[in-house]
Amino acid sequence: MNAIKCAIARPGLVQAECIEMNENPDLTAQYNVGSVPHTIFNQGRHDALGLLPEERFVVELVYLKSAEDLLAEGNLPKMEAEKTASGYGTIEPGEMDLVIIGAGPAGLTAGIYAVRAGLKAVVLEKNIVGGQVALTPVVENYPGFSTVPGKQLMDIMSEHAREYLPVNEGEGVESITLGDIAAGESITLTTNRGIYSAKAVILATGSAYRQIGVPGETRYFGRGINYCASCDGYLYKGKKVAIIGGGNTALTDALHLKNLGVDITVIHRRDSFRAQKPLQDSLAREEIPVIWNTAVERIEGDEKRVTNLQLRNLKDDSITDFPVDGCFIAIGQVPSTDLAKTLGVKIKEDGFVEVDTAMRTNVPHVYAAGDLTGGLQQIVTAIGEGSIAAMSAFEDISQPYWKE
Amino acid sequence: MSPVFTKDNNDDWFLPADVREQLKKTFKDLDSPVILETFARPGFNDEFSQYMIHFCTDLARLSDKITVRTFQMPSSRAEQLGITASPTLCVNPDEYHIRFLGAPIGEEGKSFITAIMLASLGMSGLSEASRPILEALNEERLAQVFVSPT
Repeated sequence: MNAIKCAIARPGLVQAECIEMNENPDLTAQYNVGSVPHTIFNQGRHDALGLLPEERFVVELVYLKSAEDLLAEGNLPKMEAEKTASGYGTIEPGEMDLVIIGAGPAGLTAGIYAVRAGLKAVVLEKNIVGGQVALTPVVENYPGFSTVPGKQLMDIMSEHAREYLPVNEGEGVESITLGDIAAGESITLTTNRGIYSAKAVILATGSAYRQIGVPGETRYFGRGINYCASCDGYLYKGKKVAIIGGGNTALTDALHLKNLGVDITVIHRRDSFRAQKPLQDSLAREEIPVIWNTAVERIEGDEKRVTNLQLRNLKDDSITDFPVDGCFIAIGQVPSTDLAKTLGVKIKEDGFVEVDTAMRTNVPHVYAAGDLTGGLQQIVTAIGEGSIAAMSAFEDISQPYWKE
Repeated sequence: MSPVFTKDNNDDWFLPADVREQLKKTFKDLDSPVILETFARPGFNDEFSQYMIHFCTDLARLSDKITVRTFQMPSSRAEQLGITASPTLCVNPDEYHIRFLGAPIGEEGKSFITAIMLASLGMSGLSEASRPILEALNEERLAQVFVSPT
């Protein structure tokens, strides 16, 4: 969409093409495209992997360099930071009651509850609405939906939330400063679009894919190494692929890949899966091969793409080669606690944010919900926590009569 | 066959009824006319070409502001626009260079509908932060976004 918007804004200068890879294999090979979305600018003069926030896309389109490079050169164009956010899909300027960071199930639910309680609120999302659920091929354990694609479920949830409040995509929070809450000062949040002033903040920033941390992993990311089966599985139809992991995500993804016609093998470092039984049963029924007690030692390629996984058997230390066209890594989540840490929010030993049963953190007027707080890390717990966090924020801001 | 058994009109629509209802509502907001041009080379990605043509034909039926023109490849129009991939779909090609190389399936279907809306309204939909940055551009740019049908 970013490209299309730019093509409409500058019709004589900007051309936008959306290229479906399966139908255009020659172009795909020409630009060595390995994961989607992948944007090629001016026939390869610059390229960008993944979904970029709109402003970043425009910068990279205009300057044909990555935002990091521009920053290092000191050439990043100044964004007006003084006015409060306004414009396409955003809120009216002014003081908010509540800013919710993250538009996964926790954040979206918090939004609905906050507005229904009478708070003026907004949900800010760095990437896309729906968080990790949007990337899940199939969800079967959300009550009310016996089976539903993750993206569809999140579309339904975000439509519902948008009946109540704006949900701004591509707007990540860059910094938060706490005022003196006791003195009635607000919290100031800065995003790529402007500054918000709020009485309370809910952190629903979720978690990110855990990396194995072996040589070759970062090098070949997007060129054979992937973390999202529903995004990139299609690329490996008819090819040989391994998936690393033993939990629900690894097995769900393995089944999804098998269904797409991928030659998939599961590699797990233990001798049994921790995934839920129905998934294990399905895996066995689909006769998907499993290599047990084995870890990836290094990821090897031919400079362009992944070609081989060097595996170590953890029982006898033997090393074997496992040639592959690609590898999916599904070994767990790392909570996204950067913003929480800047606020001085207490983090538990396991890395997740600490909250009480009302989703309050140790910092007044700062709450957390969803995967960020650890626990079961399911959609159903995220929505529960989101609602509780919103109501706690309401209590603390409004001091309703029943709390005196 | 007696008239009692003739099929009703529903069968020659490509899009399902609920999608059509939704789109009809969305298209009420269309302003200036939108022209969709499709290009297909017989024998190349035929199922996708058919999908694209049926999809666009349905859209044109849902709003009188949308017109579809189908072209084969090779053809003079295809040459004029420099079309090489089959199928290719262009939105208002005389005004903008907005193309879908390959049928807009899945997520890209949404992008396609949004493109139609924005083109018709003459709005870019860019945020206020993005606009000044884009104003600074004074050379040609081609952005090719590779996607997969999920």
